[in-house]
Amino acid sequence: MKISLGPLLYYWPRETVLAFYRDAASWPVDTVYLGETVCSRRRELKLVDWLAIGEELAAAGKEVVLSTSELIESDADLRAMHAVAENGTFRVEANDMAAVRALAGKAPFVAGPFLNVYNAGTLSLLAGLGAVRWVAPVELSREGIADIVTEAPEGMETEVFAYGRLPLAVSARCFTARYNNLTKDHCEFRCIEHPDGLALDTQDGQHFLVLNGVQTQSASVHSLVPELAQARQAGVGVLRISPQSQHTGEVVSLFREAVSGAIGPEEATARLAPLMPAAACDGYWHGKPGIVSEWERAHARAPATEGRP
Amino acid sequence: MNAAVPLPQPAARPMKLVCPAGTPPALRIAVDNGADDVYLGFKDETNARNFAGLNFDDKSLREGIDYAHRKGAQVLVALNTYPQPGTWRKWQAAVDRAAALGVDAIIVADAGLLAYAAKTHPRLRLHLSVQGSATSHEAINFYHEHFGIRRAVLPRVLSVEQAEKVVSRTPVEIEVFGFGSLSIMVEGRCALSSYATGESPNTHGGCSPAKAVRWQQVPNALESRLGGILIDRFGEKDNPGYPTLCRGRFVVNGDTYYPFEEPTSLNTLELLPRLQAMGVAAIKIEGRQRSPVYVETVTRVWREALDDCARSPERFRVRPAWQEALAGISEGRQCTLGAYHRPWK
Amino acid sequence: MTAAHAARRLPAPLGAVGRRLPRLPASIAFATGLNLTLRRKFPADVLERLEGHTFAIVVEDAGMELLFRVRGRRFVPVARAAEPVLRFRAVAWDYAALAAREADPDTLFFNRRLVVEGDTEIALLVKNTLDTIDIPRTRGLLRRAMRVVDPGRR
Repeated sequence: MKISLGPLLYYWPRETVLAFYRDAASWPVDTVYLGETVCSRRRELKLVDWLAIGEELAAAGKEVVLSTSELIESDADLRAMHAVAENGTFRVEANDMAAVRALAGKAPFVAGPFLNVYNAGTLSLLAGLGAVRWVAPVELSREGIADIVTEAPEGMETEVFAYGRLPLAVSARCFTARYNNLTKDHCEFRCIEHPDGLALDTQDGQHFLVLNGVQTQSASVHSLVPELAQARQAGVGVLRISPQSQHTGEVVSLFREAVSGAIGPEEATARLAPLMPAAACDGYWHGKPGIVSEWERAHARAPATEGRP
Repeated sequence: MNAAVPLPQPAARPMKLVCPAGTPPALRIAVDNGADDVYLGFKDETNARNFAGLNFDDKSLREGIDYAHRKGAQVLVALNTYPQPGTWRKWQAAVDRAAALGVDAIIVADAGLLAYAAKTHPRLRLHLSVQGSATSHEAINFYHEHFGIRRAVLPRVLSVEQAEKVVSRTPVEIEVFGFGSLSIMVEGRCALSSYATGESPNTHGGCSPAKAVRWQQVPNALESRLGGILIDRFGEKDNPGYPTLCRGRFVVNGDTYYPFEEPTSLNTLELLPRLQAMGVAAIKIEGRQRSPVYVETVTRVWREALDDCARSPERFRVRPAWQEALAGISEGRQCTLGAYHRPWK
Repeated sequence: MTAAHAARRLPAPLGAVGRRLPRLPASIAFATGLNLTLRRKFPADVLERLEGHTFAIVVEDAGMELLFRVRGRRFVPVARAAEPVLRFRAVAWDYAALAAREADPDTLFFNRRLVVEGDTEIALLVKNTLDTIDIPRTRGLLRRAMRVVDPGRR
């Protein structure tokens, strides 16, 4: 299985982003998705900057894919989408049907996770328009993905969101601005203060979600590191790792070790834990509520039995 | 005809009133009170209001279509969820049933299902559901070019100015939401419900499935929970809202507030002349899960308002009695223009 | 807000009397009424889903709790129940308005005039089923009765 680095979902200062991808060039990832997919007001990097990062990563042997925005509202958003779709150099991940329309019949593309591919019918339609890879919606279970893969068109590659805080929802409203009593149009770019999002808890103290501008993410970190054998069996070809502000390179390396079979699920999970900004979850993969951790449930009693004679 | 004389600008056409029907009585009440279109769903997860006791079987749908047609109204069937792996046939069969029963249009979100409907039932009118998340004219035109959709429902994310641009750049009729429960997230792009419960509109046709909802009286408060997650605690004086996560009160950095939205309803009465002038084809009322009383009140008010607006848009005034009637059935008893009004964002 | 938003309560003395009345006769009368007006209109699958469950309807201003169970697809009165699957609380007027389709249940709920405790899924099933049922004659009678009590109503 290949490993990809998903698009950066947070808003980091320009220098931080450049340094992040300089490092990524030496990480054991096969594919890197680039570009601003969450909010068009985030402009620390322009398209030319992303293209330049792409050139460096390509020179380092990575497959580079530019992702389009997950929400298009204005003419400016449409222009930005077209600029990405028609960049002429790199493959494109389409995240809405306007982008699919811009790419259809012109270039092979990746059907992004926001296209809502929940069945083989929709997948073959997209394949007919030029999709060569699809990224499953985060809600789809292993079983559902396996079902679609069996009916998928020849050569279609399947990618899953394998690690990171789950992007659960997108809105026209900016919740980071709202938290700061600002409107989106005058948001003062406060997202930059929250490199891993703004934590949201329930009133009884449960870590629940993370606000990331117009996007809402899970607080828990979705991790398929203990499920790699099952993922391979289900026909998954690419594992997507979502960038976080700390330890992303180590996470990638750990996944690489686990994919190669050098370490087993127990060891991988144990070593991953200190690299994560929050607790792990994997419910969606098992057809359960996304927030639950089936791995933890199944292994909750394991430590008590360890070390017994 | 003398080509040199410029034709008078055609007056903007009256907008159609599209009303919800979760049950046969609601359908009849909507038709009786002046709905142009009534939309409804089958009794299963092929529609996004898949709740126990709600919706139509073949018999009640056939009777509903008869009733509506006799009174000059149209029936639209919502098949607006995403066919899940392994259950494709169920959605396919639902399209066939709707076509066989002679519905006036189906409202579909999934591209694969649209392709099936367009191919199998070329004369069946197709509407793009709001769950299809088409937020630009280019996205809408994609569905038009590939499946010949005749109408698209705009997600509740665009400002009036943005919506106007969409309308002017597509041959597809545009339907916008006028009143009802306000969607905070882009429709078709929200998995909050399944994160807490395993079921979402996209996968199971419902947000906050009832079996995962718990209302619990605790000392001095009423608590609502979804899948065990505490959505809110209502004091004696608080008005509870729907048990959805985007209406919850949570804690961010020690502040307890509504991080997404307060319990409130969308109400665009005051925008009617503008929506009509820009060429919006239809106004949708949310609420298939609501009672016949709700449907009666909303349909009556919006019929009057649309008639006023069609007669003389320049003299259109929102009547206080309308606002009072609508406030009486609104969640949170307050209303907002939502994204139509830019600062809401 | 307007009068429509304020709960119309029975006179207090009536509530005091209600609290002293034995519960069972009222429950018997109520269950009989349900069997006469609603039973045949309830879809079989819904009655099946409700089978064996006990429901409580608290008429707050009458000081009265009506208890019934669904058994053998009929509504049968019960004297007491440890924990009903659902308990509704409202004043008599609001119940009448709901039955007459003059009030919207969600609105009463938002305004805390209708309190529902217990199994949400069954509550929704009951609410939606009641919404599908047509009992025009009973409703007409109720509406007329309500106008006698309050001639100012629409």
